[in-house]
Amino acid sequence: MTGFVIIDGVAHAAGLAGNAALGFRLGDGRAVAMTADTVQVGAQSWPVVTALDGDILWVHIDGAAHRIEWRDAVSQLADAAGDAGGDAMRAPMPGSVITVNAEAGAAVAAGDVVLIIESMKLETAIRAPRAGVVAAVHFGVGAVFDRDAMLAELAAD
Amino acid sequence: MRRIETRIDRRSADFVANSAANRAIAADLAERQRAARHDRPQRDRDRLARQGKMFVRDRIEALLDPGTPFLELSTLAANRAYGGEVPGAGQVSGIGIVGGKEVIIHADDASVKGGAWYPLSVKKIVRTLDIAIENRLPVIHLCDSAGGFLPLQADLFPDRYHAGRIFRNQSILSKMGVPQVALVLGHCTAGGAYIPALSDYSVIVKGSGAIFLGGPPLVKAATGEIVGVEELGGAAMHTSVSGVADYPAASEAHGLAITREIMAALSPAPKTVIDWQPAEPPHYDPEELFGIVPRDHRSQFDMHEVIARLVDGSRFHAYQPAYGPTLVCGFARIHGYKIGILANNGVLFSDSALKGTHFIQLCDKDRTPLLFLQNITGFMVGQAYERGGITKDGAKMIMAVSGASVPKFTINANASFGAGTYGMSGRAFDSRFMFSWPQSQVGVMGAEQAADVLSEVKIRQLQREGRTLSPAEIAAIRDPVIADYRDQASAWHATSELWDDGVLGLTDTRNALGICISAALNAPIADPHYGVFRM
Repeated sequence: MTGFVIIDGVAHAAGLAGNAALGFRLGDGRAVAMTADTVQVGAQSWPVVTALDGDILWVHIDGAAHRIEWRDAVSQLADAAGDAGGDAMRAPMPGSVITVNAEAGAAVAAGDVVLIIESMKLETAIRAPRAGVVAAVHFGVGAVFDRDAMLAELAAD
Repeated sequence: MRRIETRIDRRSADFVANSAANRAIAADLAERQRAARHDRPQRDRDRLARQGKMFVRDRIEALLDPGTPFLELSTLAANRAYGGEVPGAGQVSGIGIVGGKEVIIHADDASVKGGAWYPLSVKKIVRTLDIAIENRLPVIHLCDSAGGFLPLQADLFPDRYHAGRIFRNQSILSKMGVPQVALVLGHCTAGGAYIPALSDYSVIVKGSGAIFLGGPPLVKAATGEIVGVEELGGAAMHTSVSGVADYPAASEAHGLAITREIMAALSPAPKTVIDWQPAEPPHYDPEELFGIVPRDHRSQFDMHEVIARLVDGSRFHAYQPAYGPTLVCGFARIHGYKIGILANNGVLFSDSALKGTHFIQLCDKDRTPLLFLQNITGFMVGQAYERGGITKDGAKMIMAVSGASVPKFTINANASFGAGTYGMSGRAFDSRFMFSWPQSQVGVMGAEQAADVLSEVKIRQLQREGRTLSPAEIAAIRDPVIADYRDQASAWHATSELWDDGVLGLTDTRNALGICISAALNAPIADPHYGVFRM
């Protein structure tokens, strides 16, 4: 699988071999060998301490801690192209507003419920597509809207 | 495939309240299943002991390969029928492994009304054999039935899918080359006599097992002949004189061992090969399903969160992620088998139906089984949608669902209403297996909608007569309708009537599907071919 290794915030394209042994060779020919607590490059070796926190690996080596994260290619490239979620919250179906949870000016995290709508006897939460500030909520409680209506918007960054 | 990124807040008030409600329902399910499996009147237990018979569950335990899983089907059949006195419809049905072969077991439960067949018992046996036919699963019959329950014979004997269908299905299985072994542990009288006779192999236990068209009392009444059970249809006579049965067994345990030996001696049939990789558990804890499925039916939830807790590594390749988003389509793996998932994230529109139709055909071409996760209140209604031809787009989806050659599996995860049930491979559409989650509902429409429609009709009728109804009078019409609909829409009712193959606990669903997919691959998959799609 090809993806990206993000070391201290910088993405490097990388691949994982299915059965790679924990060792490889650098461009200049020096061999790199790794064990649980050391990294050896050529004749030199350094002690390392690692800690795994979910998908993030923290590595302490040579006096500094580094954050290393693996991301698959599709997610990484979508985010890099700014496709992580727009400003718009549109109506997935025609219906009416039941509650408004975040008014204009409110700060929201990605996935926070901004409004709850009802359609076909079904209550659906309309969530913030990304973290940001609500610029406007266009329909109040009880208001009726069509499919694809702009229900609410986040302020552009 | 990429891992789904969860958006669930495990500390939110909703998650905590949903968890509590769904865990209570899970405990209720476990108690109902325990009672249906084990609670029997003491006099029935005593009678079995007197006859030297094992309890049906102990027989199955002794039959299965040790340490292998058993997926019981329709445990709660008839739980709401016959005054609750016929748990499991007096039958045990399930998929297990015997002698290294995947088999389906049909076992009469003699601790329930002497194993008599009620109408729902017949429906359960016929369904068990339909599963055997559709998936080419060898059958083991554990026969111990008093025969058809005579007071209800009109509901179990004459019709197309009544008792005769059992014997028809047995004959078809034999014609297809799917082996059946019958173990006779009690009296097989009248129609029941044909179960061992139509099986490729039959074993009969000395002393307790007997096979005859008419028992001694009937023979005496018919012809005056006086004859005992053993001479008329016992193990010695049938295995040495008539040839109706093949192997005599000295005891139940001996009979079960012979049955195991027969299964082990059969040549294994090659299975259909589909894309498979070593399995990987879901990345997210399946227990979180309790907090995701809402305690209120009307609340929508994101099916991606459910998929993330069913599939290998929580990995999912979404197909057309931006088009028709109310139907989630995509590829994932369950226990290593690649499957195509169709899951509802809202009402079906024309675009979602077109997406589903296209996706089903992609999966069929790719030899990928289909999993339907239902949470559907129906297709969108209204003038704009009718003008847009939503009915012909729904028809396309139904055409694709009906025509798909790959195995289909359906879970009613929360709601299954109206034409949405059809588009999402409801019971009528021959999914190889169909299960309900315990809080789910099924019906032609939701209780509230049905009550609205009916009270609206009544109000108009009275208005024509010049009367108007007070809110209290409207409520008096509406409320009983809502109560009735809710009752009949419940998973307990659905499984009682065998509208599904059982109620599945949320966290048991992944393993059950793994067993079902594996079982389905005993049958070959036909080439894709479809009817006419209305364009």
